[in-house]
Amino acid sequence: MTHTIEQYIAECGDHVLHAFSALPRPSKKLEDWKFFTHTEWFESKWNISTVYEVTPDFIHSQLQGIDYDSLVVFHNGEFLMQYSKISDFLKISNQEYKPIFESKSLTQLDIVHTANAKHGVNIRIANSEQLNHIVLLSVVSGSHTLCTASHTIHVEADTQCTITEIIVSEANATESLMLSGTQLICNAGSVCEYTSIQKLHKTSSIVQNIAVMQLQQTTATVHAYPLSGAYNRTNMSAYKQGTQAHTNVYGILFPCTDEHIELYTNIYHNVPECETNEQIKGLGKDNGQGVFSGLIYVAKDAQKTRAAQSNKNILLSPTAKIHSKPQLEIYADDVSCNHGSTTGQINREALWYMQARGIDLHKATELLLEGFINDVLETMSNEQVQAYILSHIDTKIAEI
Amino acid sequence: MLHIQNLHAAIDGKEILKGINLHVKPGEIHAIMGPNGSGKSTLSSVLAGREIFEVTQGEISFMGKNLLDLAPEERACEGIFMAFQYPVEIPGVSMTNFMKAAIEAKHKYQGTEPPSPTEFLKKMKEKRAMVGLPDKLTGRSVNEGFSGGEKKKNDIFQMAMLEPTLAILDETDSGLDIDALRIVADGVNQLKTPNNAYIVITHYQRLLDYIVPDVVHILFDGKIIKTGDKSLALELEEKGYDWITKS
Repeated sequence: MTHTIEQYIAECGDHVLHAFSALPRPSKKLEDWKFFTHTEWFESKWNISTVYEVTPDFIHSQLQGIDYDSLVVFHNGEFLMQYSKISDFLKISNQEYKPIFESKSLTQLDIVHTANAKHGVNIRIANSEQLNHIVLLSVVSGSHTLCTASHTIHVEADTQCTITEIIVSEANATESLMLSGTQLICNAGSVCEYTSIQKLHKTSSIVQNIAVMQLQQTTATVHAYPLSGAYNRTNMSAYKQGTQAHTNVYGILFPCTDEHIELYTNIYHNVPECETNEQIKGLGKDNGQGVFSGLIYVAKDAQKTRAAQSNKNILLSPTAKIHSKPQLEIYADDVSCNHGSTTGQINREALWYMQARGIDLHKATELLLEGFINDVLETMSNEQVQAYILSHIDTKIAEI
Repeated sequence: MLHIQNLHAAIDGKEILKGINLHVKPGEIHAIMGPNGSGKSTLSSVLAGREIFEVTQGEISFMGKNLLDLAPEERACEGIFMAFQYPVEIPGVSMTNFMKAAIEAKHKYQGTEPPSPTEFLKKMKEKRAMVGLPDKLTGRSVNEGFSGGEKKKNDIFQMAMLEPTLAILDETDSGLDIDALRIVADGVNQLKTPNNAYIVITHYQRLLDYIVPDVVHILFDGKIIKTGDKSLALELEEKGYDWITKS
């Protein structure tokens, strides 16, 4: 049985319907949603509770040689214990999903995302002697599927870990929509590197919300790689609740034919002596559209904040677009903050130099674009994940 | 080796080269001198195949092939090398990857096996030592953060790696101090064999103290107006360009 979003919401109970009705629908009238028309999502009929099978072979084929210490598998938002590998340092429980931070700009999509709160999965990562790599693999199946997933990950105090979340769609997942949320709570003294990868069917869409809460003396590094999809949006927010909380955000957008890829980041400095380093690169090809909107907010009390934000884009065709919106909002008076944004074309002089050394235009372009994204990609400590991402970006580059 | 017949070339409809004739044999070093705007750099760009220049008339044959039919990268793989007046910075592309791509392209074009990674790195080390290019620079992106002299040395290093049949040095001496000039010139002299040839483009006679030419041409207003031996360069240094352009 299929539902429109409104029918689904009505079935979730009066309080959900009430919350839904009170909020705006994403539209071009909203500053944060103005670059894409979402109307169709609200008119479509979705498969919400249809059960699909997924094979272990498919799951393992998606990891493409990425090693892990723990693997947590989800299918259309449901946790699949039988395909997961839960090690001793990891504790998983079902728990109602509650946003760790109340966003000021909620839309009806946030209600759709949390309407089925029973999907919430709580993951606790305990301190262990080694640096553990936890992979969250989420598979979307079925045509016109609407699925939601919500994870809250607690990184215990003084724990170091790397987390890679991969969301992929099966070949049958055409015109599907995934609303996903991952909350990361970094307890005092923890160091966490989280990578978010979404690789979807060219007709499917995703909104991925990443919220990071950092207590004192933590380092959270977020790598955002929305690799493919008709509409692929990542909303990433970080809230620093303790001093000396450092946030690094790296990401690459590469919208190609008929793709619309968005990355919105909001970093909130509420306490003193915290740092943010944000570096986003964009490549646009054919009629691909990209959006980078990044806010660094420094509250009045957040003295001694150091923050840097950079967004550099290359457009490879006259019809490609990347909208760049770097923003600093500073209320403290003893801070060091900077931001910069550039958008240009591929460097013709460099191509010529390489051609004059015998390198053909195609290979020269490949080298130049790989070089362009390299400094962002190289910040990732896990080389297998880096290679996974690079192979997908290289496929896009090779088609130029 | 290289035969240029009545070469005319233009950029944006403006004719720069107005009938160049030049014949270079294996083992020769030709110097091309001339005042600013005479077309020296245009000639080197046209030989290397820069597409912004349009060849409107004339012929260029290189080792029996029609050079004008070949793309810039094909010309490079055929053995033409141009050392740039202003070597370009390529952020994000390491010297090693760049050189590896160039060597592999050449071998692929010629249908030969590229060197093994060990052989390749050994050759890099040898040639780097030959032109005095500091080790630390090869770990960096191509020309990024290099001084003017280091960029020029880097071009000569690339020339040593690619072992061209015909090398065109486009004002390689500009921006070089006397020590760097000597190192670059030493590199060129070491690479000289009876089978390869050089076209050295320069404003000044200074470089020709180190790289001794067999033939000196004076280019003025898109034409070679005088050809002589190395004494022509000395005479030019003494009397200035006016001597020849007004005579």
